[in-house]
Amino acid sequence: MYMQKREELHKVWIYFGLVATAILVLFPMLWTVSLSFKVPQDITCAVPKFIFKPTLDNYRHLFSIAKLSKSVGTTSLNFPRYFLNSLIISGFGTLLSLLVGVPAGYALTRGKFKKSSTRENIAFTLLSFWFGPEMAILLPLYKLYRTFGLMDSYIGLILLYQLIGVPFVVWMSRSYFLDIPVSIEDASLLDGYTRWQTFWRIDFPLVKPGIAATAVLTFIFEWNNFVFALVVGGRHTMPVTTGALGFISYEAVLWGQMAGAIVISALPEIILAIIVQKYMIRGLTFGAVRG
Amino acid sequence: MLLLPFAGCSLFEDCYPLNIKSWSATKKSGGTLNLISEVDSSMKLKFLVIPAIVIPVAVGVIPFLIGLIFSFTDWNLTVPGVHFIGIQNYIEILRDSSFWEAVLVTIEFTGLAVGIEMLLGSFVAFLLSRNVRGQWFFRSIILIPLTVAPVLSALMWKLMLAPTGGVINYLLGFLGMPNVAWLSNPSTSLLSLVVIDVYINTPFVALLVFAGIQSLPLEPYEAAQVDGASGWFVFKSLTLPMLKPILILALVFRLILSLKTFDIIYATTRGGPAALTTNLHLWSYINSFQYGAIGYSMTGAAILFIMIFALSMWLIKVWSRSVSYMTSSQ
Repeated sequence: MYMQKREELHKVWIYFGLVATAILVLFPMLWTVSLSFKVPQDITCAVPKFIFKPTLDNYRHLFSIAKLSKSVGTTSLNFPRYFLNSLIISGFGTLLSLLVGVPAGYALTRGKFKKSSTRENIAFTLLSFWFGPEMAILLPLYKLYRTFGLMDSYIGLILLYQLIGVPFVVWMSRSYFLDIPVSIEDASLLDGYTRWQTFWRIDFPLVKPGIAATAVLTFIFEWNNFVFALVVGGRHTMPVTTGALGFISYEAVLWGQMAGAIVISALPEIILAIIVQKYMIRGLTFGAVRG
Repeated sequence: MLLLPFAGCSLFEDCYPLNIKSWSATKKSGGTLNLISEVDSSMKLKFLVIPAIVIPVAVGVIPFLIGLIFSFTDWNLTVPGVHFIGIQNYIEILRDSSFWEAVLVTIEFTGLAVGIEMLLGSFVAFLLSRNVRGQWFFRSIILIPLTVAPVLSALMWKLMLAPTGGVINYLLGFLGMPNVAWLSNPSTSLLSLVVIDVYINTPFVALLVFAGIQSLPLEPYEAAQVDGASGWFVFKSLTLPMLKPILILALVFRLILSLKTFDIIYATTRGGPAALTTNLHLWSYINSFQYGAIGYSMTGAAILFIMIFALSMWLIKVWSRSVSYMTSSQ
């Protein structure tokens, strides 16, 4: 009886901890959402208002360029363009990462190299691109891009984003291919199917959900990037991450519109993440956790 | 897990005399026996890896090497002419107080942030691993900060930390705290950044450790219960050693990635006030894009690279030792 009571009490504490964690996680987001529906006077008043008259002004401003540029004075912000840029760069970037990365992941699982450890080494070396400090490459790249006319171009950014996408896709797809026993493939090869047919018949259906989740995460990671676009992006190719900073100008900080921009920029990510939630954990932990 | 791709080989060795010629060929070359792969196109398969190497080399390795060369020059956009000056930049940087301040900020920030993230993350993982109802729900909420762009999270915090109308000051006011300009006050700016980093990255540690706890074997715990071991003893001599590999793995990721933090600092303080939140990564950016000192800034970036490289080599060694300890003790 005593033990049972203790157990119950224990559970209460655990729930308390979990609910507190959830509140801490959600509060900044909900607060930002609330700011995005406030008029400027409600945002900067000394006592934050938890109850207020919601307005759609901030969102209306975000999507009407003329008004926006007038309200900021010299800086002209074009949020719809930033959003479109993010879609284009991350979308095509992800596509290229998959086209290049999945076959490479397969080759690094099944291909024959002189030493079999080569496969592991290449995959690991690729992953290490995630850990290098970006500044060590961005300044020389800035010079190179200027020489080749790639500054402020979609192609330049998409190529650069491959430093995020390719290592991740190779690493993750390899981890999924490794889960497939060689014997199934060998059986199919013995039946007279070619390597190519075997891939589509045997491997692809098995790795499809994993690759889909990897694609979504690649998209999110590329969407999230900031440094690359800061240095080699520009007026024409600015994505939402660098664009959101534009709401802090010399004249004023447009808190409400910035909040709106944050909400709209983060929403696609959160929705995507919830859709593939089941497969996310493995990707987010770089394959260290299979779940 | 790494042995999986070889699982098929032994089966086929005995039962499939497919082609005597290739059999003897593999025998002679002394390689591992894989008849099937010998007769199909596995040899050509490896060329598929080429594009995945060419692109990162073009936009990553080559610029990095060029940058290394820059670091041996006195290239400065404000001064005409570029000369090779050997290791003079590296000597000068070691005498530069702004460099050492940046190194200090890097270490302080990383130490504080990663320390808190490891403790808090493990605690949250422990809470999640208690099989309570709604565990799935809490887990999906905790995932969210990992998917939102760090810059956007940092900006959310900037909104909350604002000196006027910021909700954090308002809430702390109930505890009798005075109004603080969190991000621009010299004594709180770095701490505020640590809080933001903890908000963004604690979920990563929590997820990893949670998975580690889920995969713990039950038998040792049953044995400990039979022996009447105390809770603390069980934690110290069972849970902790068994979780060690995954704890080190989380530590590796967090240490390396927070050493090169850039986004959240740039979005909130831009290294200020003064240079109190300028870490080495930002120092390098400021030196090249604000002062035009290209050679000098690349020297800083190269040193940061070496720091990260050395640290990760060492940590991976520690990690593989802890893993081999695990497998040999089982």
